[in-house]
Amino acid sequence: MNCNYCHQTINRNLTLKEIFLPQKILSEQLCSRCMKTFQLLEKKDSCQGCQRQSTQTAYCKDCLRWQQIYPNYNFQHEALFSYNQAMQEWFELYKFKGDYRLRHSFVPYLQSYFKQKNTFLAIPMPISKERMEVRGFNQVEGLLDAAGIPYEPHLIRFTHGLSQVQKTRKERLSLKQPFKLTQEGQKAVLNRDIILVDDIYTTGRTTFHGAQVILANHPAKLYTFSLAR
Amino acid sequence: MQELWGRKVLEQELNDSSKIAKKYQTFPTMQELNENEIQCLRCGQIHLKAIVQLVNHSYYCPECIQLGRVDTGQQFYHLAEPKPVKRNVHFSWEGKLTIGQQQVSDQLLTTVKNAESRMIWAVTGAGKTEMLFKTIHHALEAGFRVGIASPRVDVCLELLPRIQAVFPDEPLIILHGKMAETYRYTKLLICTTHQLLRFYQAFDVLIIDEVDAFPFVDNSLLQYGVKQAIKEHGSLIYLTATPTKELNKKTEQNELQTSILPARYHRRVLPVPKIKWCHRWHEKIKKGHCPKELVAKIHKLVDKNDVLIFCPSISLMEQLKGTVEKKILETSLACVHSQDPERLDKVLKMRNKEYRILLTSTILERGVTFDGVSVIVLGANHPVFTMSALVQIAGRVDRRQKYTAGEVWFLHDGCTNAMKGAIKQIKKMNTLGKARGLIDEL
Repeated sequence: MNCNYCHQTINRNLTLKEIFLPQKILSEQLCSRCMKTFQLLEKKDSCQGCQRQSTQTAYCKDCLRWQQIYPNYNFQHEALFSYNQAMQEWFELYKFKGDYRLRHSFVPYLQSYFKQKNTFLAIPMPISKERMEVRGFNQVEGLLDAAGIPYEPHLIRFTHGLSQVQKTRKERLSLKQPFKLTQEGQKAVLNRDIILVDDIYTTGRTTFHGAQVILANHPAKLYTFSLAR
Repeated sequence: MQELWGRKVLEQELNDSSKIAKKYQTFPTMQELNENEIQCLRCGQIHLKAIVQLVNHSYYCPECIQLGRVDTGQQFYHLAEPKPVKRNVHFSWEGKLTIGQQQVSDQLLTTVKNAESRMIWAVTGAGKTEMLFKTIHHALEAGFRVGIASPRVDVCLELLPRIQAVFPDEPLIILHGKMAETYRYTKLLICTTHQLLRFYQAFDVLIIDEVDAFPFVDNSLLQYGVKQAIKEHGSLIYLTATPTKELNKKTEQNELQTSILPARYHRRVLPVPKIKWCHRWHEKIKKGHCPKELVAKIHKLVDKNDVLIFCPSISLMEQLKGTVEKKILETSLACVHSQDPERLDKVLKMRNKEYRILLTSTILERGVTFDGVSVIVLGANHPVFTMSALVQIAGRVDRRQKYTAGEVWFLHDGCTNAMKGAIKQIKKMNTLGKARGLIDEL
């Protein structure tokens, strides 16, 4: 098997467990050298609202502001990886260069995370029609597809603007609501446990816009998740 | 308009897509070969459709994606290269070629005049670049478009000032992956071999320097790029110090004309590598010991020259550095590898004699010249040291006019074919040089 990212052959010894127990042998997508460059996020000492790392307080400054804007939303965003240099490069290739094969890179991690959330309705963050035409895939749906996690594309993006990367932090925070729920989606979220899935959480603006639309249709509980933050 | 001459690019690669005239030609980006396979028409790679299909039913090419993604939703833009028009080109080179260089230079000129192709096999430090000048000048005056490509960006960067100095009034552009400059049309250009994928029937003369270097060797993508970039009746010139088997075979079968220059401009023989057994070097270094053969050799060589030590891997090199430092006191040393951000700085310091010993990965195997060095290849039997790598490494020694009695040592624990082949090739070149009277006996 070759690494999904650097394409080198993956070479590893089986563990004693894997040899002696009749269970499925875990097949990695990434080689250990690539995996070492990505950094899993800690729960300890992190912000309860957005999992920002090593904060002194329960909520970070940004989240305190989000609490003011969305006072009735008890949010708790979860993410798996740090959006570090290596992750930025990975996203550059997957999302911006558009190498769709990379959707498999983090399959084992996504699968184990979503195992605990298997009763939830997963809604991926949408991209605009224009973006879809150029990129040819939705990067969030790609990740979920690869990991075999069922989802419903209830959310749609009706405005098409610059990519987030091309905006300053201030511009990003002052964006207008770009999402809406489909008619089917409006019925589907009612009294359900929902998990809104995105690729990257930076300022939280996009995530909260998505959450706002879903909250308006009264889900039982709304979680948000991103691969990186 | 000019921007598209001889190019084959996607819309996103254009400087200003609104400015293009409507007369451009378009090509498809990919071609379905059969039910299961599709070929990228930029890099020529064939993919399984199932693997490269996107959600919107387009197909894309993951192979050359670093140049911007090719997918079936797009097309290539192209304009044919205009017909050559004779012109005057200012040529300001006043150096003198040696007899050996002159012969090759003349052969090359004839080759280009006849629109043929040729391989120039010249030993390391022979002065390959100078032999090109006259031919490039002729080609430019004939109105031809001339490209000089190399698999290594370092080689390109080193070529640029030398070429520009010879043709001071000629617009010249260098293309590589990390450049900031935007593309513009020039009759003369230097680029990495990857950049050739953006050209289509552009060059009358295309020179590929260091054909034996990674990543060009065995890389069908880059070789496809060369075929696409050169005009149908263009001249393809390969430069190498260590031709690949494939090129040698073509020479033997008379498919490719070859010029051999077996001697350096200073008329001395190439230093022949000497071999020395170094028992279990790999285990010793892993355990944090320094092989005593290595220490002895360094002590002996460092008396006369600086010492370059080539190591087979970065991790091994870093371990070795600590142990060598303990054994060789009072001598400044450093180590350098391809991922080292201070690489250029360290090489400069070595040149300025701030370091006496430099440990290096194979990154310094070609394209660099130091005054007065000896070379040790530690673990010369490691598979990264291919025959061509070893010939190149040996070629780092005695490149300057002044003789400093530099030596080349292969430390090993099991002689490989690559080692034997490298020594044999160097000896063969020396014999040939003497036979042709290009080498003075000491």
